[in-house]
Amino acid sequence: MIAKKFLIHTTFLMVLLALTTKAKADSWRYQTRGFLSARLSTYTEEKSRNYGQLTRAQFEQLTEFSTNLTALNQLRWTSNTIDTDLSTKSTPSKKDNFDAYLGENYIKYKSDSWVAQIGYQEVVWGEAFGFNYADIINPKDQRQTFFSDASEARLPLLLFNGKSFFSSGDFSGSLQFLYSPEPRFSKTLPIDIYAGNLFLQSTLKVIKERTPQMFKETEIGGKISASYAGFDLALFTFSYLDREPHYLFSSATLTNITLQEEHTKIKSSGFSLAKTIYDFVFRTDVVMTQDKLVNYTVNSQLKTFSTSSLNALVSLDTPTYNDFSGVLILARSTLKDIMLNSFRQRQEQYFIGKISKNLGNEKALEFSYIHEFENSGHSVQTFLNWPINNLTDLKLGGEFYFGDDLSNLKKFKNVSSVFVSIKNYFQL
Amino acid sequence: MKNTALFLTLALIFPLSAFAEINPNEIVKKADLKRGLGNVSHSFNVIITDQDHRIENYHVAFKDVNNSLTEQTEPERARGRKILMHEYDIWLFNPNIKKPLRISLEQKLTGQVSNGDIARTNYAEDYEAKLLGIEKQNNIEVYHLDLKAKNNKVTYGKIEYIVAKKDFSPIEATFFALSGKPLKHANFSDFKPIQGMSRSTKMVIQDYLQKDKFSTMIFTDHKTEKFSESYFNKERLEF
Repeated sequence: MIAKKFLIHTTFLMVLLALTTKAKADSWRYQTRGFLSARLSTYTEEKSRNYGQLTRAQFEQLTEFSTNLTALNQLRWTSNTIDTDLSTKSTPSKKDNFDAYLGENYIKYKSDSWVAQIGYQEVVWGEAFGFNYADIINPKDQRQTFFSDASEARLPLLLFNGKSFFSSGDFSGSLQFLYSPEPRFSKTLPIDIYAGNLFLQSTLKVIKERTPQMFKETEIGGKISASYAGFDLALFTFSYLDREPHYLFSSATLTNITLQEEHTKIKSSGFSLAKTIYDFVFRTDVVMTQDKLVNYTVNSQLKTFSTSSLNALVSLDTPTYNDFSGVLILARSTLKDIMLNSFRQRQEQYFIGKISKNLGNEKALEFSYIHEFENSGHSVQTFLNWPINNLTDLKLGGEFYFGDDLSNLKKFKNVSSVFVSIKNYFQL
Repeated sequence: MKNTALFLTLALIFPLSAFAEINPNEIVKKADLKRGLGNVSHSFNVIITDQDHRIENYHVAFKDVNNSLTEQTEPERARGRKILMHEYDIWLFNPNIKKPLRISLEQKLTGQVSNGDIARTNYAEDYEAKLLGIEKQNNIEVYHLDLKAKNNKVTYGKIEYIVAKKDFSPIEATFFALSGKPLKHANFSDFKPIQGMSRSTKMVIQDYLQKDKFSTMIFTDHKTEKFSESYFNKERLEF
């Protein structure tokens, strides 16, 4: 069993080892680079836990064996007191989290008409950015806040990723095939945020589900993309283990309840489209997910029901005017069925408006507002991005969540904070 | 009689040849060849320095006037950022976002430089030229041209272009928005022999109103190079 688990890793390392012993190794090119970043946040709502810090480092080595064959090896490290603060309950005490994990680690072969990439990697589908329903492949670290880079929240997945390209005149496109023998799950927010007021017990404990053994559960999917006459269109489908869990009852006392996480197979299909209209860019992502299990409670008993969800998003990027540019997004997620006391609402609908002012030299002032229609939730974020020199970025900002207690955005209230962060890039 | 016939013949030939010499679109075509290798598949590097001495480096793969791929190599924070142009479509790939995003042509690349200033530089393809006159600048005879956008998809609405009469070297240009508002001014210099022809290797772009804001573009390492069709497929940007 252990041998099976490490089969791919071992094969991958053996291939690398075999390649490194070749005499040609002298002609290989290496690039070692990465970054170190630190963020200090002051929470504006909970005086007792009024600060948190997040430090992060990434080291990366890119090896070019030839113009066609390359390998990437990344190591990521985080030290975090911010994640543990993402709870509506004031009981958890603040503690440091330390994570050291492999980032993207893959080997890639490129030919003129196709590419094959094998290993731990990030694959992103969809046209929208900032709020992306079609980004379904990789699990996410949902504990990251809005100001984390998307790449920092995304967790690499072991994949065989093959893509072929075709074109004819003005028409171009691609066909992509994905296969994962080792599904992974998202790092989720504390369950209290969704279910805190649905149980009599004051403490909710969750037993995490472990990642399935390799080849026990497999995931498969693909995407076909085409660009023609100013349109980008993609159709995609992916059959995978739900990145987010549903919960099963495990045990309970008068004060504690213990739940067991479970992830079931779901299938998402959809399309994305982008079109330039004068200097505006219109984007849309539509994703339909089947067989999703959602929790609800009846008389403090935990149950699940199966449903499908339809997530749709439209966005419009405005042209730049006097160094100002903006993005307008309307996003809506709807469940086909709903039960009373469900862990989520039937419909979640958001309007997002972003405006940024280019201050020159990559300096930018950004402001965004999110309005949650159901239960009237609000979020305001603003930050100033100030590169000090070619290798160091300084960022100052704040993010604030408020509104009705039932709104999703209000549930993140403890994240309201002002922060300062510094990020250093290096190349050896 | 013979003299009259000769006079008439000469009178007919000379104005025609003079007109041919100053066909404004031909002038722009010849000046384009003084700023790059023209519509030949090739690659080159661009170093952009701004008024605060910040440096950005790019590598450009140019297949033809309708297909180019620009990849940023410096500074470290922006390494791997790519801009693909196919006809009037343009996509940005940012390694953090990990997918190509369609953007509009007018979006600035850095400082005073627009995406189109690097990747879509053949004015003859995008603009209809009109000769405003032949003038003298610093004791050199120059063509003063007015270039109007052939459609509203190009980077600028209008360009006022000054080209040396002697050898068609571009000297300076003023760029206007589609609304007619002046945006920036550029000077072309440092002519060096590249692939058998003297070509400009330096372009200084200055904000039209805020003269202290400028970007200097240095073009180096021009090489003729063949690229496959799929090299300019937007779905390949992530690899």
